Amino acid sequence: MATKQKFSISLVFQYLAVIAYILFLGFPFLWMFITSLKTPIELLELDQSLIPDGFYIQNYIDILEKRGLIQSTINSLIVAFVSTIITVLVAVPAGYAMARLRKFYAKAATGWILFSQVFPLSLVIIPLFMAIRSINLLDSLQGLILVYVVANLPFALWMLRGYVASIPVELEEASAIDGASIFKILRLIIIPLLTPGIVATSLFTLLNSWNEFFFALVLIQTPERETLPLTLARFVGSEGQVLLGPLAAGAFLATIPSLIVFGIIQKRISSGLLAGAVKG
Amino acid sequence: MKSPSRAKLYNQDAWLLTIPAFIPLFFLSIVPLVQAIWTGFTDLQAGYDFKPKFIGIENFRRLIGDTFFWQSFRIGIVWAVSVTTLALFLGFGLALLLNQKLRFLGLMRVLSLIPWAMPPVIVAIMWQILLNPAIGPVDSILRLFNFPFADKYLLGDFETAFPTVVVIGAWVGMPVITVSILAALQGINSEIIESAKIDGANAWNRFRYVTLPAVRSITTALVALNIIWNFNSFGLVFVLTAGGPGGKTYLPALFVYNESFKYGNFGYAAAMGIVMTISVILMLVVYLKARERQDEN
Amino acid sequence: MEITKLLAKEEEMNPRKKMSRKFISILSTLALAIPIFGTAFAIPAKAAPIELTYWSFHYLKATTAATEKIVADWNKANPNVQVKIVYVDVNNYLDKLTTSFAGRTAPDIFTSEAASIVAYSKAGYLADLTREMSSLKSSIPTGLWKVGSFGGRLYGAPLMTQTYTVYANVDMFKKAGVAVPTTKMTWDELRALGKKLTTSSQYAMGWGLRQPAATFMIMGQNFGGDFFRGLTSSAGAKLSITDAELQVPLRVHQMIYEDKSIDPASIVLSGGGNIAPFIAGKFPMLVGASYVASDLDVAAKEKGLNWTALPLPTGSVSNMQGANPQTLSISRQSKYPKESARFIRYMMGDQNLTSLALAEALIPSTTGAAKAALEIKKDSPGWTQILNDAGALTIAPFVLVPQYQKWKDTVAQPTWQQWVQGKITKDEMVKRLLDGWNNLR
Repeated sequence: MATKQKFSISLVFQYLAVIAYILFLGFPFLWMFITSLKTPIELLELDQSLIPDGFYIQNYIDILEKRGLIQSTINSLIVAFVSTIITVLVAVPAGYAMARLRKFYAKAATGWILFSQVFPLSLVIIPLFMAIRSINLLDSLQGLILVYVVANLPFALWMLRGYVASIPVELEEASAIDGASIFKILRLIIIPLLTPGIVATSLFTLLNSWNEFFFALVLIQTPERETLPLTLARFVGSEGQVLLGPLAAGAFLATIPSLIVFGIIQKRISSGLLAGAVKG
Repeated sequence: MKSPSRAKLYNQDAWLLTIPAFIPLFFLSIVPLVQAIWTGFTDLQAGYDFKPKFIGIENFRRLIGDTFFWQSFRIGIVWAVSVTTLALFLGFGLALLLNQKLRFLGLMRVLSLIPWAMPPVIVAIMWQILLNPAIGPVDSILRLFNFPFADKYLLGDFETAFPTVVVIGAWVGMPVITVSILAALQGINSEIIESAKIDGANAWNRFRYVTLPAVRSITTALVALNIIWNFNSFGLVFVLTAGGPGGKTYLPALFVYNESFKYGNFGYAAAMGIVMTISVILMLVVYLKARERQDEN
Repeated sequence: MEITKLLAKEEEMNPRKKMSRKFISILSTLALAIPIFGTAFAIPAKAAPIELTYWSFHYLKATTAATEKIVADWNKANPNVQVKIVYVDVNNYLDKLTTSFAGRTAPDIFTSEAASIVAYSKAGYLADLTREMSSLKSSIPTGLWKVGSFGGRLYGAPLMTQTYTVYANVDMFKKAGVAVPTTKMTWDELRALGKKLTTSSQYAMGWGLRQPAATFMIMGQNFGGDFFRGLTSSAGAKLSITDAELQVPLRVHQMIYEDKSIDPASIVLSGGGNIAPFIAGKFPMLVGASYVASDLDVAAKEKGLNWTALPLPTGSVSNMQGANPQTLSISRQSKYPKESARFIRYMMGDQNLTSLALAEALIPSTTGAAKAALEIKKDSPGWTQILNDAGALTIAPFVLVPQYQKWKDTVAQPTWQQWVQGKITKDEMVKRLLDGWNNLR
């Protein structure tokens, strides 16, 4: 009896803790949603109420109609998905090779990856801009995709290399003796075993590209090619002059796609997001 | 058993596999980075007609005496370490909870990812509004609980500004940590826990001897990555406090950004970047080596 | 060993694995197709007429609407010179502009603020507008013209500007039985007003001093606080902090800590953060920039707020404030500087400039537009006051000091934040400001 009681008390505490966590993480989002339903004059009030006076959908109409949000959402979807696909396609073989190459090369590559991650982005942006300009990809979604692939590659390589390292090498050796080429081994043995790692890497890349701001800001010049974060940023305005209602509506809408993706793959998420980064 | 074919296989054909990744990396990552590093040894400044000169380590010599930079550098270290620690602590706790057999787990898992799903451009301005004592709700909530700083503007006050941005930084960083640790927790064989229970190990000992070792390596990786990410991020803090009050949140990444984009001293800024990068990598190497040594013992 | 064969066999039997292979091959085809597919995103370039790119950091709905109308009118009247607007996020304007200068992809025409003109023109990024804008010179106050200039040449045509104004809640003044000053107000009178309106339950004033440097430097002109001297000397500018420079910081400090007439909760916020409390009647006076008036207009319409603007506070020297107007510039690399200049002149025509400035809640920089704006706003005493303050704008020396930005960010801002929050003494403040200037690298 005593154990049962203790059990349920600890359960109560667990639920309380979960609620606290959800409030901490989710309340800002809820509040954003509430704000998106308020009229400009409600938003000038002191001590904002938790329940809006009504459903002021003008905020949503404002951003959907006038600010090119739909076009930039489409652009963001294209850029995020295409750059994710390319990153994975390029990173899987390279990550595999890195895991199986001599230790010296692998170490050099890891060192490079580390350095490129730590070096301040704001210092690389101008040389990168010049490089993109020299291949005539400024102000294009292709250019942005290319930059995102390069930006995501170091981390993707690092993760995938770890996943590969956790696959026993004996399988490949056996196949190699049987005369299978390295490409065949990759396709038939490694890729099927690597699926969780690929899912995790894709998720990282997808979200990074979906949310990325700085590169898009600098590289994209035409409003028709803007990505979603750029469009959203223009609602932020400068200090004290925030277009709060439309901003909240835009933020709410922009968060939904990622949450849906999470909802769909939430079971898979738990199968080892960063696991690859540790192994090997 | 090492077969002769292995060396042949990996060292001939494997190179081919890296080419599709290496080519874009070379032109768009390695070349720009090398250029940026080179800039650190020149006097490059903004301007159409500016012809940069090679000046050796002059920038670095100047940097040694730049008290403002070192002050900011110190803030950056404290910031990166505190945010990482807090996010790790909170993320670990949530992961442990999500690993229990509770109700609505799926929903909770998705909700716990909100900070990650939200566009970063929005996150900062959202928190600024949430914390505004006049129109934001946080103030009223804190007053409800009689929190000591409830009447102050948490982002503007000298005592509270830095801790507040750390909490927000942890809010942003939590989801990745939670998800990764949760994954490691789910890899623990439940039989081990059961047998530990039967052996009479209490909850603390089970945590200490079963759970912690299982998440050890992922934690190491998370710490290293988060230190890097946090040290390099300034967008969030810039919107929240613009480096204030009194320079308490003036992060080094912001310092570098200002030096290059605002004041146009590209050469000097690049020197700062080099110094920062080397210091952080040294710190990480020390940390990773220490962990490795612990693992061996 | 037979593992490969085994695997192959298993694969034949397992449709899911086959699927994944198929999936990957589809992905790779897709990836290959992207460059071809990609061209479909590209927008065909226009052939005959020249296209001018105009970057704007404006984002308020009213301003963008006004801009779009101006540009549409222009494009209709000038089929051969089409202007294309690009809005850039104001918080990241600098990054984008700097990169585009470095990469030689800068826009033809762009908005900026006068404080950036020195750095940009020194770097050689800007086209000389002196001749092209000479027809407007007589209608722009000398101070504003100078702020947009460097080395005697105009590089940024001043568009519109703001003052730091004291707003008053007229109903609260009435209730307290205090008269609203209308013609002139000295700093001493402002302080007295603060004391009079402070009660046990209410502060007299909200003042957002989250970033105090601009306020102190700009209002410092009231007491002749120039901060920088010897601008023309070859040794460069010298910072000096005398009684004149200290007047505004000292008086603000007194109002916060001796008179307790400024709400301490307001000082850590930005100017905009105090608008809601002011509208809600938390304090009868609010110090803020001109743009605050647009929110007050909304509150007046919706909630019957009865507001006005007080005369600019006058110090021992004048009521003059340093100006930092929004400007229009042409990049030096523009292929069409003449056409661009023509567009700027069009934009600065009385009617267009008036509509822009009123949308942005700022003071238009030409006398003609200021007059037109006054006519439109003649029923609003607050606006009348604000628009009439245009004459009190001058050039503050700091805008000509290249090192000023860095000193402001790393020294002045933090030091004055500490001063305003009562963390340091007056002597410490002065020492830090001066030492910081000398230690700047």
